[in-house]
Amino acid sequence: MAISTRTYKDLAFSMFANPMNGDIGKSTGATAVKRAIVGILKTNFNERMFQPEFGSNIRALLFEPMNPITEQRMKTEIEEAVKRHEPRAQVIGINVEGQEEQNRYLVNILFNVSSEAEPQKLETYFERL
Amino acid sequence: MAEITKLNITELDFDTIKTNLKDYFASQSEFTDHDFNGSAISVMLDVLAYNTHYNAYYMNMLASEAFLDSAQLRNSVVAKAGMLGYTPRSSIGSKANVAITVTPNDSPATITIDKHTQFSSSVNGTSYVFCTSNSHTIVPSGSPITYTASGVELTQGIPLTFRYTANTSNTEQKFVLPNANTDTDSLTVTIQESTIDTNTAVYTKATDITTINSTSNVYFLSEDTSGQFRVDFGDGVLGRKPVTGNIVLLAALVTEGADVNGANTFSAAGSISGYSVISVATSNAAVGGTDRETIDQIKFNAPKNYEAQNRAVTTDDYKSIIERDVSGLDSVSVWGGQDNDVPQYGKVFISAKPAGATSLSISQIAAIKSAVSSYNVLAITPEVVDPDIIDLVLSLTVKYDSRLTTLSSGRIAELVIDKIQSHKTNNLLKFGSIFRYSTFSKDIDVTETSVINNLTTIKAKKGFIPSTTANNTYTVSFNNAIYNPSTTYDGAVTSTAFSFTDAAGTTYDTCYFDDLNGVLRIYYLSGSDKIVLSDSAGIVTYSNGYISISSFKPNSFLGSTLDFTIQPAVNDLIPVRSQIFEISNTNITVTMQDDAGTGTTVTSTSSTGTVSSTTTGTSTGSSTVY
Repeated sequence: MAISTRTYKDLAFSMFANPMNGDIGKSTGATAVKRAIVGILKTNFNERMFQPEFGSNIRALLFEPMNPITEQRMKTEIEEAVKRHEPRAQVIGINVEGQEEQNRYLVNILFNVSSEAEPQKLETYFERL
Repeated sequence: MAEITKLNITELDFDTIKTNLKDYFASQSEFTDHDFNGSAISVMLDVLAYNTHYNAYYMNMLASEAFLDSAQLRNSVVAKAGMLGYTPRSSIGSKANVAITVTPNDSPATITIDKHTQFSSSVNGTSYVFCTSNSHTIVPSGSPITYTASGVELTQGIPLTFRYTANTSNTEQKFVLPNANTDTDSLTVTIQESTIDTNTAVYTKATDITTINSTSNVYFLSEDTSGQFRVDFGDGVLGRKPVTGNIVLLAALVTEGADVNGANTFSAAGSISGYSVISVATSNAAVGGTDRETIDQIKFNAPKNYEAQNRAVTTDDYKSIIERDVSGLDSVSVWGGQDNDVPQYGKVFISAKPAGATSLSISQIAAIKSAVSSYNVLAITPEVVDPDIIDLVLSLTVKYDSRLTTLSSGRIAELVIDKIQSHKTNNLLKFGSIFRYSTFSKDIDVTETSVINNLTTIKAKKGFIPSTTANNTYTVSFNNAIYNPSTTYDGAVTSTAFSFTDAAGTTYDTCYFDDLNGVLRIYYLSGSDKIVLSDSAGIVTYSNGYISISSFKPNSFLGSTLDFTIQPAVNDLIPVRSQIFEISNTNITVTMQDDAGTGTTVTSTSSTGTVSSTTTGTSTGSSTVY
């Protein structure tokens, strides 16, 4: 089935049980795509067995000086990772904002999903531990 | 999408297994994100594929180790061979035969040489320990009186004894020979009743369970999973069972195997019966040392041993029994008397090449006869013959490009000679090993990066020892066709020099054999002219390489044998029955030719295995003879 016409259905990463029937929880549509993007960005290279090039190198950037240059590098890294591994999402824009006091980066990704009419917004944090 | 009704289960690798799982999910609509790597279901598929891959690999290796043909681990191969009743051969100590003379400072009635009296010898600068295999008692003889023991067998190895106290309540107890190089031929197993009761009983190796009962003092030998040899005793039904408190003594030699073959000078390591003036004369240099059986050898020998089923009917049966029971042999060949050159019905011929030697010792011949005697079919007489060695005489022109190497031509010539010897070791020296010209030539071409090609001519040489006192008939068989392009060609058969008296009573000191149109002739050289003394000395059969000499009596001959050299009709030489091809360094001539466009030609000749050289100038370069 073509990617654009498919109904996206995935396991929920939280692995919760559906309270109605006890089945494993599912995430569907844009939510499934958002979860997948988070999964890609938070997986480091060489982390997934037999797929050393899966994921992104964002974790390595977390320990660089928190400045506009690093933010730009993270933005590029996110854009390439999504392009490489998530064909369902067409990125419209990415914003990376360093939050020095919280010791983290706030990442906003605006993207289109072919099965949805509206652009989707994903907000996530990368904490420096 | 149509549902998948067939699940592919033959794949082993991660990627294909994951593809199969994806195909399965693609056929249903429960989870559609299976082909996006970021999805949670994709992570689950990774885990499933990894687990399947892991199990498939494990099962594949497990199945592989379950069969003799495919097993790779030694303990698996040994276990499978054990199910065929086969125990791998251990390292075997090299054996020498010597005469030991003791010079006492008094006049004892006898002098005893104890078993395991130690002697030392060295091979290639390394010193090794040899021990007497048995005890000997020397009585004085001759005038003046000497104390000499002849025919003393020395076996290489260090004697070690391992002591265990039997404990029947310990079901895990094993009686192991802890050294992997133990020579099990030298193993003696003794059980002492207890620490208080010092009565001992010697146990023998069980070979036939039909002759064993509950009181038989026998032990069973096997290779343990650790690669060490293990001694097991009976269970009280098949063989006597040790009781708690028995002291088990395992005494054996720990050897260096094949490394020690060729040791020929021995000296006493200590005194004998208190006398320290000892001389040792070598009758036979050390031969027969072998390393423990390799995995490949076990895989080859175990099924053959099983096929023989402890009886000698076919030639393979004889071969299998001899290879199993007689140590120190590199190769064994067996053929029926009906297949002999001159058929001899009622006989079976056995030829064996000892490790590190070209002829069998008296004790090896006796061991072979003894090994087959209890399995031999009635009315069939086994005959043991020495290997029939045919020397190959090689003349090589090796072309090389001096621009591609920093080595001298002499060094490359040395490497070529080493390569020839390694080709011999890997491809010849066993019965039935064919000399294949193209394989040989290919080996020479890869000696060194600068070697371009080689032009090699092959001749075969074989000697015989003629009587110098009586006219006798001799046959020299090469069993390979001799080159004979025309009835006027007379260069195919040549010989070494001998002294000969012709029919008129004139003696000629330097005569030779040659051939012309199937007739063997005797001639001498007058200048460069051949003067024929006899034009009917014998017959040469070109088609099968037979040279028959009739009524021949030389006065003397050069060297220890009178050698015939033939030019074979084809360069591939095939041995039959007991024939083995040998290449010694004295029969190799290497001519190095620099093909770098300089026009330089360098000639290298090996005479003794070490390369020496002389250089002569030519108009285009230089010529060096090694």
